[in-house]
Amino acid sequence: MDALKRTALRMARNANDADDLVQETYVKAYRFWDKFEPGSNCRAWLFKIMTNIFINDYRSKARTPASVSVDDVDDNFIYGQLALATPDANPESEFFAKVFDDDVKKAIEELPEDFRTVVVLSFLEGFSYQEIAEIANLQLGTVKSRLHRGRKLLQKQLFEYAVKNGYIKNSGN
Amino acid sequence: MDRHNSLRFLYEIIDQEATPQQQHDFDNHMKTCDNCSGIYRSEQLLNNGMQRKLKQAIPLGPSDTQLRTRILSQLDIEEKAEFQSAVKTQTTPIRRISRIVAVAATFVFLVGAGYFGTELYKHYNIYIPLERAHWQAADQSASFSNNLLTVSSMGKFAEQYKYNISSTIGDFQLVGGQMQEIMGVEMGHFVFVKNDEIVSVFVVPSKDFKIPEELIEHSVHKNNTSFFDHNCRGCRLVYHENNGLVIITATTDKGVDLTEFVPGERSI
Repeated sequence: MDALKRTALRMARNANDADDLVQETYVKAYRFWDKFEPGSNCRAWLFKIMTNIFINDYRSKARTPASVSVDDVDDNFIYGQLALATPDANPESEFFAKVFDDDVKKAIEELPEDFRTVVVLSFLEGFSYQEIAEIANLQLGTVKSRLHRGRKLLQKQLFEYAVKNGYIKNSGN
Repeated sequence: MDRHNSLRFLYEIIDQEATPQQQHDFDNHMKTCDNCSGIYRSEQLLNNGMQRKLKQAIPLGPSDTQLRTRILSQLDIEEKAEFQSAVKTQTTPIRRISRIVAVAATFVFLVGAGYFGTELYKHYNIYIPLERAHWQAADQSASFSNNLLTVSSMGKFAEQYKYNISSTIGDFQLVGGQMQEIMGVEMGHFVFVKNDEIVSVFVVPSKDFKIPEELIEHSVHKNNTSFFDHNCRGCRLVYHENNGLVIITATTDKGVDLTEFVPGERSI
């Protein structure tokens, strides 16, 4: 249940809706238990139920973040920025030592929903690409693409938080 | 594998989703390309850092006890609803059958009640007045024994219907007789006694009285006469016809054979 709740929080972005989402997931799983194939991945099945409920019932309720342009994020954006921004030998570790947990949470919540769902399922729950494709009813290529772009957006937003809060200097500006 | 290709598979490598061939090519490239190796290391650290931070950002545990309770309660409700639904589903045919049985039982009851009601009504109208007249005569045999009435009644039948009432039938003695209106018909009622056995004889013209049809199917033929026997509530009534007269004998004494009890014969 913890895993479902964790993902529900990131999907719905508020605790009440997350609780409702988890509850509905369990109730639906109970109702449709006969549809579950013994021996198959029960965890993925539960996440699939929850993702479907979220998409059908909660997506419209969830606050839609401002549209974010993904295309203008350079693949190696953070690598270059961090190398320039911190003199440390290990700038990534330094970066995460300064970034707060809440910043990451905020950055995740700011992701467009399509990216957020895939990123959460991968980062938070460690589902494979194939599992995510099945859970979210997506093509495998779409999962890879969304995960890739979601990561880049996440890095960019985290970097911007870090700069905004003075954790690191924006050497590019 | 060149730089472009190696970075194309970067996240598959990090996510351990690359094919063995991709992993092999990537590893070989990393050995010779510092830039790609740096990017890979950086991405891996960022990935691990984000995963770690993301999990830390969502504290779970005691606060979810409430949610667990909520879910369990909801599942209880679901289970009860499912159970009730199952019970309902299971009982529906039973209820349907019960309804059919109830309707059938009601129908049978109504038909039965109608039948018995009709029988009772018929019995009340056809037989009971004769039975009652017999019981009254038996109870009041002393007052019934009025010689004048008896002679007058016997005379009426002898004169009007040419039917002579015997004063003895076997060991039975005629002790009284009178004209009585029974079932709206005037008939002669004569009482014969043998010790404590009593037999009533009712004589009525056939034009005024019909032997119940239901008895006709169960007639007993004896001594060239058809007897129609009715027995209920301990009182036996036996009907026979004799040249335009209906003779009905009645007794509560089981030892008396009423088919042998012929009180007279009409002479035409």
